[in-house]
Amino acid sequence: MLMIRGLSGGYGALPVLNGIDLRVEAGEVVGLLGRNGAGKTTMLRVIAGWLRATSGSITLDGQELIRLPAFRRARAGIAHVPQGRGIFNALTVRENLEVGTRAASLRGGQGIPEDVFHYFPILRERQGQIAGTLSGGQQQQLAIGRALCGRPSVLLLDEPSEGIQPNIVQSIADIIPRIARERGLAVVLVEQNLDLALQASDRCFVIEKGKIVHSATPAELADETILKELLAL
Amino acid sequence: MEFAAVTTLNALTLISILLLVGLGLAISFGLMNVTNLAHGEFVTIGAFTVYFVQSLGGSFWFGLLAAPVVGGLVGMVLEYAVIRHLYSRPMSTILATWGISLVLQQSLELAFGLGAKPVSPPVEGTVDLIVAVYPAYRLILIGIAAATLTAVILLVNRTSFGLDIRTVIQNREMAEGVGINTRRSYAIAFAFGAAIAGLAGGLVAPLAIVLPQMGVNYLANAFFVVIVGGAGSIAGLLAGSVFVGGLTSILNYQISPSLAQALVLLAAIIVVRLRPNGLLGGAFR
Repeated sequence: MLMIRGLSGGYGALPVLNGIDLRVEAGEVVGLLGRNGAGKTTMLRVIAGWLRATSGSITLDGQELIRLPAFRRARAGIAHVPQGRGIFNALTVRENLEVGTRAASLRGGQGIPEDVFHYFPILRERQGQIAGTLSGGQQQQLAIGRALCGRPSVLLLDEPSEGIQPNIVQSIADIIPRIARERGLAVVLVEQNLDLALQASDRCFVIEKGKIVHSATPAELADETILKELLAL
Repeated sequence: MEFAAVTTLNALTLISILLLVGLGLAISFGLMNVTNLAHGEFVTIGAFTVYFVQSLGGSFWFGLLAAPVVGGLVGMVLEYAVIRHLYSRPMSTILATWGISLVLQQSLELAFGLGAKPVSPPVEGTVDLIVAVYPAYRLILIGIAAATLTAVILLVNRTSFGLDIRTVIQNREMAEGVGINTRRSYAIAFAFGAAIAGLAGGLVAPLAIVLPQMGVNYLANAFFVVIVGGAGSIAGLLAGSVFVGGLTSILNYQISPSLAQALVLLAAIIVVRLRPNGLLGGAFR
């Protein structure tokens, strides 16, 4: 279980987050919605340790992570699939997955978990291919697959639908909740594509000016008038 | 025929040395964006290590084993004490490493005194290669350089440490994100480059004039190699070494060494003007 309390932080002297509280259970997908600049991406980067928190606490199954550098948080079980996917372009697909297992090495995780290929069969076919030559959708699958190689307990997904073709968006919307359930992962999903976000999430939160201002179920948000009001579209 | 063979072998000797010195610089300058002006001192330290071991009655081979160890240790200390604080400040790194280079030179002079230090090769004599007669030690040097390069290529491409390094170089933030301690990877890579330069110094010691200031020449040439070849790949390093080493060896036969050096610099400038990323720049990235 990921527990976030009073989290503030951002870019140096420019705080973006102003006291975020959030609790994500194992096996659950939480969607974060909000306008551009609301602080969604910043929040994921602060949780992953890529940006500094100025105050607050982040605990994973009771372990405090707030003082740890990014690589130690990864080893503790926080996997981050950033915007732009962060694929190592010059490495092969297999090497990308292999590097992904580094996060699990201290917890006894050996090798690439077999179910990664089960979720993303294309990765098995393309193992020897240079990752930079994959299509956007395949790279996104690789990025999620690589994250799973670290046998994480939390998966932070930032805009998985960005720049990929619609049919792959649908398959990603299907697979995210499935992975969360089957592997007992706590997933935090940031997504501009509302259809995907509402379809994949169990609960949704609306962020505004670095604060969570509203929580709702996807069913409630499916009502367009409420959605428009909340997101001020 | 014999002239051509000897020139080729001379070129290979020089290329071997440049390759090893350039390898460390390719790691720090080409991949980590650290302009280390004290890199030449790792060569000096390697040469002095061999001299010191021999002066105590030890064998050349033991000295040659110790040279990369001492070079690597000095590199590790340098990275930990100075360089790691300056990764985001390239200009400060240039100034700091230049200062360190002077301190190291003066320290060696204080410790070992003025004047060139004699280092004798482990084997004397020549080998008859049918087309030419060539000093045995130089052939050994070329062999060790080739073996070292092969080992480095295997290390980078076939081991899990090599995979970590390639990952960190491509995207440091994401490498942290998959659980790699990138600060540690940088430190090891830097010390490794220093160790290879130390080995180069040990190898070249019997052929060169061993002085506290000897590193400066290697530093300049190693920068030519990395810039002309294209920073960031071993193929580029090889191309740069062949270009600089080959041209220098050929010109050295015809004209005075300083003029030859100047012409090589001129050629390097022309290459970089025509191919700003080096001969093989961008081949890996």
